[in-house]
Amino acid sequence: MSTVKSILFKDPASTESTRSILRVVILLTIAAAAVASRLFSVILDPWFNFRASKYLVKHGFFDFWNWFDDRTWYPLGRVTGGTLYPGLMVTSGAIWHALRMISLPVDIRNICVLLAPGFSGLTAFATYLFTKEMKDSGAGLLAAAFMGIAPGYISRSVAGSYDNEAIAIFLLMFTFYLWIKAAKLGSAMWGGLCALFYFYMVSAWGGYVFITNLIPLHVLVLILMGRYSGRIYVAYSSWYALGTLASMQVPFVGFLPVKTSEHMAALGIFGLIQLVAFVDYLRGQVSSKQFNTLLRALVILITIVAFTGLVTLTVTGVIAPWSGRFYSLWDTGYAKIHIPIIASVSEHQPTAWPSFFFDLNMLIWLFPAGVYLCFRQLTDEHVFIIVYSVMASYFAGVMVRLMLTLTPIVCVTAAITVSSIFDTYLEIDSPEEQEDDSESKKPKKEKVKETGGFLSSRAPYIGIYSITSKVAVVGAFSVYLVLFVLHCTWVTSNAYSSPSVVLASRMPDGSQHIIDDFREAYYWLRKNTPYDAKIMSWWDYGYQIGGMADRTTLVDNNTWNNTHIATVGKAMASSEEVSYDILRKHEVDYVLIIFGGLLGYSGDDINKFLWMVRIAEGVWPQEVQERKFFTHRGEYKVDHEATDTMKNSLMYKMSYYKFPSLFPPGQAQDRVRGARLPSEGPVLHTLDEAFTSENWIVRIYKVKDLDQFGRDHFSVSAFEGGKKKKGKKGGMAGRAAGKRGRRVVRI
Amino acid sequence: MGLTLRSVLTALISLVSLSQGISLTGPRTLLVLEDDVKTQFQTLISDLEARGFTTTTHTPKSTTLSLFQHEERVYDNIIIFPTKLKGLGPNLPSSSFLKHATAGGNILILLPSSEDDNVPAAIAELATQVDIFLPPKGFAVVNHFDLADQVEPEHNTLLVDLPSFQSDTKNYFNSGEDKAAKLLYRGAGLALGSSPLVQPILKAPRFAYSYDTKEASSFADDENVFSAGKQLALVAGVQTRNNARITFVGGADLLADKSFTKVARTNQMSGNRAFAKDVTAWTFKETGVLRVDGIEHWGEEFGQGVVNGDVYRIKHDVTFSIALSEYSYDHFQPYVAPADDAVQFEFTMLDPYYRIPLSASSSPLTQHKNSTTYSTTFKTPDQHGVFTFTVNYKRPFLSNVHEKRAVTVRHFAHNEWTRSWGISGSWPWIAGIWVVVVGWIGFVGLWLWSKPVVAEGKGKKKQ
Repeated sequence: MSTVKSILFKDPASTESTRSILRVVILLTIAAAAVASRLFSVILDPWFNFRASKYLVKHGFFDFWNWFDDRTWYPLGRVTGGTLYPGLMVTSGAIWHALRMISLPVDIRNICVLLAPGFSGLTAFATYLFTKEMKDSGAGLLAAAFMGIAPGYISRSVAGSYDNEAIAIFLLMFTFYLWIKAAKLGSAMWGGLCALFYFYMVSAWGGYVFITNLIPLHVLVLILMGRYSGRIYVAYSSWYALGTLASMQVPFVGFLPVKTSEHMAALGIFGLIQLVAFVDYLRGQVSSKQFNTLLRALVILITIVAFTGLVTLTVTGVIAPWSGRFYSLWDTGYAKIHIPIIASVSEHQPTAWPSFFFDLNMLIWLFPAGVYLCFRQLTDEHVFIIVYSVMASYFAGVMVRLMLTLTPIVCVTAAITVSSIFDTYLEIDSPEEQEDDSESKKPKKEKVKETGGFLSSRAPYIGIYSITSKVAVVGAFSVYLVLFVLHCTWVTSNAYSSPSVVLASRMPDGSQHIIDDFREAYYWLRKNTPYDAKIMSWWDYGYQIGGMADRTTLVDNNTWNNTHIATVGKAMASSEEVSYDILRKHEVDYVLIIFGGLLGYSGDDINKFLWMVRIAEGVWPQEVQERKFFTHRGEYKVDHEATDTMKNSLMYKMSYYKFPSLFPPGQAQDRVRGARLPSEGPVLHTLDEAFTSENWIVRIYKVKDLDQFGRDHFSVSAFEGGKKKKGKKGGMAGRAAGKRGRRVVRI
Repeated sequence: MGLTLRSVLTALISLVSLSQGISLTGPRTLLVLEDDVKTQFQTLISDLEARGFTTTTHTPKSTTLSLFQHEERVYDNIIIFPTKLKGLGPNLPSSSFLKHATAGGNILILLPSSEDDNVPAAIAELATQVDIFLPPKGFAVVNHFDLADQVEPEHNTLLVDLPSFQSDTKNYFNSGEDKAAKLLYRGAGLALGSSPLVQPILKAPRFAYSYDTKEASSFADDENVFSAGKQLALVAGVQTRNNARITFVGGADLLADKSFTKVARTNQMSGNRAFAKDVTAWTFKETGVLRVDGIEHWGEEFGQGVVNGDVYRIKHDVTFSIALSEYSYDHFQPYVAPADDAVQFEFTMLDPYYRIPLSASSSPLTQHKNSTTYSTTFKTPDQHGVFTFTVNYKRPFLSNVHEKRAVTVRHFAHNEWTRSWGISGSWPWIAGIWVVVVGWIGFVGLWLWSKPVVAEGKGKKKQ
């Protein structure tokens, strides 16, 4: 122990090398922990991305770029190369090729599954670099550790969660690190690197707009604070020019950076910084009196020119107006009224307060302290943290999904706080503590007294004198850290590692019961339907049907064509007569619905049904009306009080078809909605029940063919039910009614 | 694969045609009749047997009769003769006929000519299901203006012209020698619903009407007239969606031996025997059956090397061709659409983007013996997606042709657009780029090589 101590503290040079070895080891440990904590369960989820990666690996990059996918969005098809962010697939494709090159042929599926955990390790590293720029490497290590296990990030990066966010958060942090580096050094090289990673980010995730707006905002705040400098100018100009040009090379993005309002801030700040630079140059050239007049004239002129320019361009439509998704960021009620399709996604709902604590645990209360500490130092990069914190907390409050962008900055600020606390409390009188492994072991070492400390020793040292308070605070924080780790582990294993396709429940005796209805149903589809069968379902299940059942779907998770989705909504919400025509027109062979009434699975289609109605109403306000699905008291009911529109809707009929027959008469109970159903179940005329999974979660119906004899399906069922065809004269209807033939004039 | 199938089919057909002409459905024919009725239809039955049909006779009440064995159709064709009985036996409910037709079998139903005879309940139900309405017992068609026989007081025997249709419909019902022959008809007539699957084959003369003979009043008014004139069908044919055929003959005498005689008034032979042949031939699918011998489509972008490919590109010429032949008693012959009709073709994604009449092609890509090749060339629309080449040719008395071929129409790939320098409008911009590049390099060169002017006094001020 004493030799270790002497090595650690006696000799500065050897201490430094030991420290760097320690740092590397710690970072590797953090990365390993980050990866390991994401391996609780492995289910590949966004099947589309996986399919795209497979295609990329099989056909090569250029074919992937030109890929026209005719199996999704039937019958429109999808110009996949131009409608996705290829970053994720290209990354895994590159890894696949790299591994092959070193004679490690790995299945692309394994790469896809492990990509997110792998990149979470890199994210931890990027966070370390970023935080190191803010404070020191001790805080950096803490931030990396936080980032590695914070549930807010794990939620999107468990093994198999092969989504854009898997690599995007790493790119986000790394781009910010490079930006801070560029702004600090005023280096065009770092600015260029930042642009390069910005390009990578653009190619990987739609959330790149966050960077596109945050960096200009940072620059604007700096300019307004009077902190303009040549460094900022060089960094920003090189980032913007290179980054924008690069981002326009992504086919999906194209000309958006110069056309849409979301990107105008970056362009505006680019213009502004040129002006500021020019004014700065002028200041050096002319006397101050002339300069003032000149400045005033310039400001007025530029304001007028810029304003009229912006207005003209917006009015003439050169710059696209703000998109609906953007409005919904400012007004949480906007989407509900104008674009139900966005509001229908649970991820787009405003965040509930508990979920902040759930996702971030103690970091959430360390976060404001960290921001406060940044105010105390307030160099250029600290301004960035403040701007980032404000923006990200707002957005995280508006949309659950954006919790993801808040998590990194919370980790960084919390790390700054904890590290500051340890800096303060782990020193006894004369400051000398090493803090890169400022974990719970620390208190043991603090007894060591050494002179000639080398760290964080502010000139007028104001320390804590009482050992008790030191021990208390440090001990408390150590406990908090341990608790944090426990919380993260618990959340990860319980909440974020349960894949959506397999449900787990507890039996009365506590044993685990796996509910595997989804896979059962998808497998049934795969084995029992023709390859070109078209399946209609609500869009949530589009990717899963496409991926697991390998069948054509009408709409999927990425369908943009609102009308197309609304068509499905209308088919579900209308009566059989109307729906049947829609189904025929779209050549639908099977309809798949999710029904949780038997099991109590609340994420079923009846609960999503109102969204289908709303979306359909947005397109056909005359034919589908949400009001008609509510009872006159305004309740959404499925039992005997349900409205006729509700009872006649295809979705209701498909959900409860034959359901009451499972129970004794009059006892049918919907466990999700807690409703007792009428003992007479709905009757289906135009659909045949094809498949119902074990727990009735997935029900598949086959669309009947047209009748051979030209009858409609209602009279067919009536005939087969033994009833006479009603309302038609002639035939057996007897003498009195049958004297006149049916007077249909035929030409 | 298609080739082998076709050769098997041709072999099969040539084998079959060695014997007499034969129905495409098959020769097994069930006659549902009582023995005393059989004597009235000797000629009809022997004519059928001469054309290669094998007949099996059962009485309506037969207990051994079963239309299905092991869920397979036992008979290809059924003829139900009029019966004196109240109803058909328990083995012949209306649903069994529907099942028979669903399985592709044909049915010819002869309704009683006498207004005193019953129509069995199963037949009436069947008629209702296919949108044909039978009058109740006691109705008869009458025509006071064109008497077949001056002697008959009720004017119940009608003289009807051979069927004629609009110029866009093929006529399969006047194949007899004498086109001017009259048909002798006696029966109640049928009223037809609006179903497109039902077609009147023989319509009543303009002044004929069907009325209740049991009604005391000596005149017919709107209340007791069942139907009249051209709206009153005497013979009607139903073709189900799977091309099974059900024909209702309003009066069985039309096909009975006693009508195969001279018409008393004109002293000419009646056309009934030839008409009986036409009606049975159509019902049992010896005529009016279309066959698609081949569908080919190819695009300009690939040339004729790639036929029936899966992928096309927007805004490119595509040629589509379909070879159609028609069955006539014992052989397939090229199908020629009637003068005013056109075989139409649709290029569809949800809605048709094109609906083009096809024209007979003189030089088809693949020669099909005994068929006409219809084709057209069009430009794919500026819309990507899964399109279908559709030929939806459904005409009265012809079997349905509904052919669909789904193909993908893809967008322009990124390297298929005109390059920037190929667009003359882009030249100023390209020139601009190069001017900037060259200018910048020049400027840098100038900056590096020009010797700074030493002016120390000024130079100190800045930097």
